[in-house]
Amino acid sequence: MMNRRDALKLLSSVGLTAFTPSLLNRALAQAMDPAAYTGPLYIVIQANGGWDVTSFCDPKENIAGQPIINTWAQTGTTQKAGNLSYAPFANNQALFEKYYSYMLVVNGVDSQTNAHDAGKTHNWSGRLSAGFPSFPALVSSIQAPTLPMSFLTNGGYAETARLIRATRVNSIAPLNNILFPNTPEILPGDRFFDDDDLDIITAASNARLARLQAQSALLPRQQNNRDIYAASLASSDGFDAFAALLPSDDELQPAVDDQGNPAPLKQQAQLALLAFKAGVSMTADLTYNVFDTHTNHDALQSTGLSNLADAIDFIWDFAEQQGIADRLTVYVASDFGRTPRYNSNSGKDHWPIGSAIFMRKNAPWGNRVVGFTDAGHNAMKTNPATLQADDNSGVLIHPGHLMDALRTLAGIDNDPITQKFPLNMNEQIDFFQSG
Amino acid sequence: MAGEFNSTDSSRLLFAGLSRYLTPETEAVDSYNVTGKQTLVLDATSNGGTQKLSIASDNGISGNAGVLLSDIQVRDGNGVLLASFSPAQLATIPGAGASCGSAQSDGWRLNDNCTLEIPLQLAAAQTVSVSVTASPVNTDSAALAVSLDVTETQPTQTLGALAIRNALINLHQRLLDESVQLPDPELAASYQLFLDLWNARRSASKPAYLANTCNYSFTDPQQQASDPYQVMNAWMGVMTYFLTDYRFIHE
Repeated sequence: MMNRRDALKLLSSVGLTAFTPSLLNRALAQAMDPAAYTGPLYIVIQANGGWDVTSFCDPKENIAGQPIINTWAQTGTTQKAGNLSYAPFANNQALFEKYYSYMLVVNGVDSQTNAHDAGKTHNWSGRLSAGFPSFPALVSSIQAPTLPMSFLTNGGYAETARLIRATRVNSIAPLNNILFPNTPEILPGDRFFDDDDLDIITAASNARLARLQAQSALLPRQQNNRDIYAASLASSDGFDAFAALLPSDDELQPAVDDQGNPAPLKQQAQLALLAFKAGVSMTADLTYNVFDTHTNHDALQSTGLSNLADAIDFIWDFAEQQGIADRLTVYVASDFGRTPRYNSNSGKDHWPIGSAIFMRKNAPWGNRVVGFTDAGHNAMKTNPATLQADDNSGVLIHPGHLMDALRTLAGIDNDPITQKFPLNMNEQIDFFQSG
Repeated sequence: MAGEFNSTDSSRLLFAGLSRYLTPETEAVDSYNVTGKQTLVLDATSNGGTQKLSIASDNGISGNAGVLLSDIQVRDGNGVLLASFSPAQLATIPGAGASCGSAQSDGWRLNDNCTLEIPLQLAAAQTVSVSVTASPVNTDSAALAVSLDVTETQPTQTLGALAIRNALINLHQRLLDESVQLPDPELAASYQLFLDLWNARRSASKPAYLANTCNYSFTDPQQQASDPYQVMNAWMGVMTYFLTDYRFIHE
């Protein structure tokens, strides 16, 4: 018996795979008025590899008689923007001076691991154990589960816990094939089927799907999958709006910086923000995998942090242009931090203590630093109530505390879905408290 | 689709037994390569009643060649003449017409990618022989198809309808892993889709060729994309129905 893969090969050999499975989505989308999503939006930037926050938002100068922590501290000193401190390194000044009022910096976050995968799992789900959803997946599944591409990912930690579909969108060409399945790839503007034919096909397909859904004796999983498929077709509203917003090749942000180094964040952000603008998405993970600097640390972190700063600046500028900046929250973090000293290869190795940055325009919690590290970049305890350093009544901040607070900030902490994924923190830290 | 329909029948992957001339109306059909003035003969078994003769020039989609039809006769199994038509007088034959072409002093010039239809009333089920005298125009050889058709809008028992349904049974099995036979509603639905697409395109006089011809690997795009009876276009729509089906995508 020929299976589906065989059939695809066969059909490809006769030139039939030009029609993508999403043709039906498009037909339905054309038949419906887009009901654009207008709620909150979230971008998570995964600065993968372990960023050096001592050269960024938790600056550490050198200690006399101790190994050098940072080369920049030999000639420079810690800078301030509002209440925030930053290192005179990379493009930090431009970033912090422009956006300090948007920023909540949490320092001294203990990832409790020096392993990349564990660090990613812990930071992006709030738990060290596997299987918990990332924040974007969780909030999308609760607040915007019917959007056609509610949760966008670019390949980082994107555990969905089967709550919602993750849509990987990081290239225009395949995206065009999805959004314009009735258009031959080499003949933009032309169509495989005219409206009359498409209407007939769509009507037949809809009727067929209704019959499939109505079949009795289906296993629950089969029934569920068919319902999800039908829902995905029905939630295609807004694809036309997204398609209309897609940038041309000339308008697409480059995926490399001026020196030719990988710098994909702005392109990822551009597509995500346009999907937000079109009302087809609510959350997006952006990923940048350049921070594991065991050698040549200063140059590589400088490039990485500069490109990260440029991308954050682009996100807010572009969000303003699109009129969605007021709805946007940005969360930036990494697997963990890097050692407060250089190794023999001019690199820095893994260090469990890192930082996280939350950003929102006009946030009452902007221009705030929570969490502390000592001069040697060891985490210090924070009082959950006062948010002040407190060796006696304080606790070490873990990613779970951040995720717990973020769930509360998003208003999903008491949702039954959230309750299925408890973080089991002994205390809550209200990083986002007013005043 | 074009690749399949332009392959030899034995080398086809999905559409063996079909042709671009085989429509749901078809009772009998044959195709010819006309290299000089010659008489083409189509032998058919008719169920009788209201029928029509259909002739398609299929030499290309935009050339200036064609076929001159000078005489059409229909005889019964004993050679008795049942009907005779002079294509030069096409306009005077009740119910007859052509999608394009022009009357000449010695016949009807059927331009490339044009079709001609003549109503035919047969008293009873019988074997008939249709002879068409034709010669190529502005070309050394011209492709021509002659068929005897019913005139129903929803035919179910013709040679063409049976062949199309057999092809659909094969597609249901191979693409969706569904074993269907009449009166399975899924087979009825996919056949109805073919009918709807085919009738709609004919009624609207849609272009009688495959669109986006430069998207395919044709050795002769002008000829191979030709779809005088809208058959390949209808099959394209049906294939999209199958390829976007939940069972094909997910199961």
